[in-house]
Amino acid sequence: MQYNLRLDTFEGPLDLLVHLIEKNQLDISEISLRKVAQQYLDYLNRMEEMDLEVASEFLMLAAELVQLKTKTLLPGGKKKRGSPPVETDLVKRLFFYRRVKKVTELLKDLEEKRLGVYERNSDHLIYFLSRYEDQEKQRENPLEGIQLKQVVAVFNRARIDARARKKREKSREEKWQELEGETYTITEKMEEILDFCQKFPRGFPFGRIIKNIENPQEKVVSFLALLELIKSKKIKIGRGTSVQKLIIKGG
Amino acid sequence: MSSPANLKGAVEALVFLASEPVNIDEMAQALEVDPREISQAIEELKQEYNEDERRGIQLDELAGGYIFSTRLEFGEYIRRLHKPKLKQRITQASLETLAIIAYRQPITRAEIEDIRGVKAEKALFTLVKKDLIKEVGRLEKTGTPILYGTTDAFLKHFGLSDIEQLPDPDGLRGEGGPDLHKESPDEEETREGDR
Repeated sequence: MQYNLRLDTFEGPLDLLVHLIEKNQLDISEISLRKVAQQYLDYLNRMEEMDLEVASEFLMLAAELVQLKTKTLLPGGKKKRGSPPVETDLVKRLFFYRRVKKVTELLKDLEEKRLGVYERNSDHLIYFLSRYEDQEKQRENPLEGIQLKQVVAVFNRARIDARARKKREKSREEKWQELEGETYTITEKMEEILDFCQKFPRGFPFGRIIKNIENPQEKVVSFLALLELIKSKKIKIGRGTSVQKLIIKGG
Repeated sequence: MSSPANLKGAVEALVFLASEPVNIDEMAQALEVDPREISQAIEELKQEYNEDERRGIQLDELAGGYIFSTRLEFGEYIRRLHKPKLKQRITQASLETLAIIAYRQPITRAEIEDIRGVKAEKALFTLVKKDLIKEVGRLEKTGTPILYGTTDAFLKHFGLSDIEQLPDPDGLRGEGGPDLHKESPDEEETREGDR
């Protein structure tokens, strides 16, 4: 069976389930759920085939459905005839969800009806109101009782504050340091070491490799490369004349 | 100052100029009359405007107040001439969340997610930002989760005077609720521990 459905047309797993039940012209019940369980799982598989990430909510519900199905397979899982059907939690949720969907449609209708209805343009009114208020204000002197030197003092204060703030921002920036990405790879270093082995067939101390390296990361990567080479038996390692020296030789 | 001789005309003038719904008490205060007289005047105006189909404007009861607005059938012409800022439709996901809140308020995020079967965080964020819902309190349980409810902007967006006006053919609003919000066992435990 083909499901030409797009993932984003469903608001969630419950939406998908309700859709499947309605598509199969079933009522919401545990029996219907068992009937559409396979279709639900097929749909998830298709989503995965299309490389769509299946949201965890969809998977959780899939687990619930599988559990429902297994119940019927297990001996004693079937209910005696005549006993009233027990509404499972999932069935209740589906009923409720379908009702929510219904009122969502009602809201949508209301919205649609209201979208084409316009009230007075408030921006327009506010513009005129503010002009009116401006005229009122012009009659008073907003700077009454204030001396020029007070204004100058406030201005200077603001300038000093601004300068201090700039300084603070600058020092904050300086605390930050840019981190470089990974620039050394183990493969690269392995090749370097093997080159050394060819250059010095009688062996050389490890110190020679890392002598000129300042970057700690590069040192670590070189050491890891060395370990890798020893492990793959491409080089041999032995003790040199002094105890602390390790001599490396091509394998 | 005294009350106007032509009360109905005065009410009409007050509502006419308003860009936000004005309520009866505000008008009663300005006109120094009993609110009941305002209601009476409003009823008469409503009849004059809303029942006469030749009119281009209608008197709407919106978010607990009154405002004049244009009739739906003339929306297209208004858009042509006035180019008003277009009202935006709410997306499906947000609308579903909004519906749950409108009918089941006050409600927590966890309860909404239970009903929808998916996360509601993003939808809630959008709805709060659009001022369609707001925090109306906290639930007194572990974590004191936020309770959400609808706003006046919600009522205006959907053309409602109050939340009771929401069509509810299914009785979704009044219902005590299915035992949907059954808690998982471990949550039950924390509750016990609290006592």
